[in-house]
Amino acid sequence: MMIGSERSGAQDSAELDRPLNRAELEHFCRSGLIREACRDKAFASFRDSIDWLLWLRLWTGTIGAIFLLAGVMFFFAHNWKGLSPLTRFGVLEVGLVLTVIGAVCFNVRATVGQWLLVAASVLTGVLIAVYGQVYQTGADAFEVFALWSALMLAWVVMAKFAPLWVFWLVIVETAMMLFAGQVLVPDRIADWSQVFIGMGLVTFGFLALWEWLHPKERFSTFRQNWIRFLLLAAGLFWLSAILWRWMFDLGYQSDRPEWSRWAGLLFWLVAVIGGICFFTRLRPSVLGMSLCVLDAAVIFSLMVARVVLEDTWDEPGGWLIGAVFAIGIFGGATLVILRLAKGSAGDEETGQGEET
Amino acid sequence: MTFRDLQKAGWLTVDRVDEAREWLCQGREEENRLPWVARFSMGLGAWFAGLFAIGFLVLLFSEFGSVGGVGFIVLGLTLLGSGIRMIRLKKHVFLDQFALVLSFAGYGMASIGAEQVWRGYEDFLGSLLVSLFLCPLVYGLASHIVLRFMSVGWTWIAALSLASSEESLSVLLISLALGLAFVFLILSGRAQMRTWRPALIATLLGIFAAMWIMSGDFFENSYRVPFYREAYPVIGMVMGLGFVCPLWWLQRGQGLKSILALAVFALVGGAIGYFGGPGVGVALGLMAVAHARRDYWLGSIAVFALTGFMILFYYHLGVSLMTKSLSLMGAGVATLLLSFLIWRSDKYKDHKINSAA
Repeated sequence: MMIGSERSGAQDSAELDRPLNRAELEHFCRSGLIREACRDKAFASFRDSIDWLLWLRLWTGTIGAIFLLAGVMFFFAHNWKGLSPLTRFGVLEVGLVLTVIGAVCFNVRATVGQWLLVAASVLTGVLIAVYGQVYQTGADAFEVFALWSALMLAWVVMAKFAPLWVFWLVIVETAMMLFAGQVLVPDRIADWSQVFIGMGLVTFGFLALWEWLHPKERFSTFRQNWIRFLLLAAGLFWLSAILWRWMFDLGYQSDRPEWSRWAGLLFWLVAVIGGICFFTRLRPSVLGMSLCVLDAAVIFSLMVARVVLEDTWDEPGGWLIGAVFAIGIFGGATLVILRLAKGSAGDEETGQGEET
Repeated sequence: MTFRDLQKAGWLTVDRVDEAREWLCQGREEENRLPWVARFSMGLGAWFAGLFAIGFLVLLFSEFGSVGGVGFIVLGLTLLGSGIRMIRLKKHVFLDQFALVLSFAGYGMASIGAEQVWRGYEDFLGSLLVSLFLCPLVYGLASHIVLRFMSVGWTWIAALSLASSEESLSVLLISLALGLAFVFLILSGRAQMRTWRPALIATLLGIFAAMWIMSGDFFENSYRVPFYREAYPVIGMVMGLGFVCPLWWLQRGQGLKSILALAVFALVGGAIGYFGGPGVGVALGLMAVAHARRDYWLGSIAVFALTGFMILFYYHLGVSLMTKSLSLMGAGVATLLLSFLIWRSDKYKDHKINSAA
């Protein structure tokens, strides 16, 4: 990792090598940084450097492709009701087969092949939805999503493609949430706190899997920090949701057991403290660690607001206390982030971290 | 053309090369002082604290009696003044964001107060008058990009709200004309972009919002508004052409070929504007201007606007889905063909070879 003056030097160099924009050139001229005799030449040279043909080609190509795609979509939208079930399945299945064959031809590990598998995965979902629509299977929504995730699992494993992996995870979690909303909670098998604990554990499970897999050479395509950020944010969101609901009495059912909320609090504490330790010591990541610290700061601020303004929301004193606490909590959080970031930067310098 | 190119060509003033380099890298240095997450944390804290502080101030103020229109204006101006003073005090993320919360609340309260004071006149007239009064003051006193953006943006919101609530075509046209003149003034290179960029972006967004109001038949009974139907295509054409003027200004002195290219562009933009897509024409014009300036901010706004106005245009087209699909497919094939022809053209190939060299 580059630090201090080395980083600043490299960035300055990049700044000097990037194409100038007209506003910068105008500033140079206005403040006399360009010699008066050369100003016209500088502007003429700037005008010549603008690549109009490439711009035209790029935008006509992009707009043309969007028009064509939208036109085809509108065509099917208009004629969909008139199409026989056989034609509907035919169109989708031909699309599906073509994308899969294309992916195999281009190689499922090549970028084009991987994106074709993403398209095939989307078409699979559409096909299942159309099947349900034509034959009125009466399947619950969670079954559709569960089947979809099961059918595309093989492609997810084969492609080793991060966006497809995340797409699959979104479908799995949607299926789980729908299952909870349609079965678990209405049938009183579980309450929402338990559901959110389960969602949090599953998400953190995938984060652990990613942390275990991505250093391996075979899974080098997964070495993208946005996956870590996404999984961590999603995991913290599920666990924090238990506390938000608790603090603001959302969907509280007095006949449900209290232990699930306490368990949620415990899991949240473990996730935040564990996350801070993990991303500071084992896998230094300033972003990962900061996310845990900021989540804690938001929860504590809301907690203080809830306690202070509980019965005195129309008295100015309570709001003032809230403001002071918010400054204290976030000031503390910033100090923690800066301190831990310094520590983990030291680790990253020794080569233990992968984040730059 | 890069900074190093300027240096190599010997066009920079000899004894001021370092000054130019420092100016170019100045923004970067400021960014690098703290990790962005730490700045984000401070900013988030400032917003939480600011919201609590506003709650405190409003309740404290109301302890002295009921807060009337004038009271709201006084409280709003106090908050706004405190915000601006805080920003000028010291450059710090927390103070900046805290000041922003105070200023936003100040603007809001002053507008609410003005609406109460001018009750009985047109809706939003009070807000517009307050915004027009505050806009130059805030822009001059606060050198903060968001506050400057807000001061202009707030004026546009008030003006457009007044125009649409009163179905006033004149307010809409005056706003559009002033906005277009301002955009031209900035893009002609007479103004310092770093100072005027927030105003430019707010104005462009305001222009697009005005075009949206017009394109989307926002006026509930638009047929009652005098000249609306007649003026609509003409305004679209004028606006479409209006964006060719900055482009001409930026590309002037390029000979007959360039003038012809600009004329074709003006024809296309004007025609699109005239035939029902004023927003599309303006967005296309801005895209070209953004490219001519190599300005990614303007380019992003233009692409965003183009997407929105294309959807709006097709939504309001008033033909069957089948006709829409066929026209879209036809337009798509034609545009792709144009793209293909450019790709195959000798000039493009020569250009690519020269660029690579």
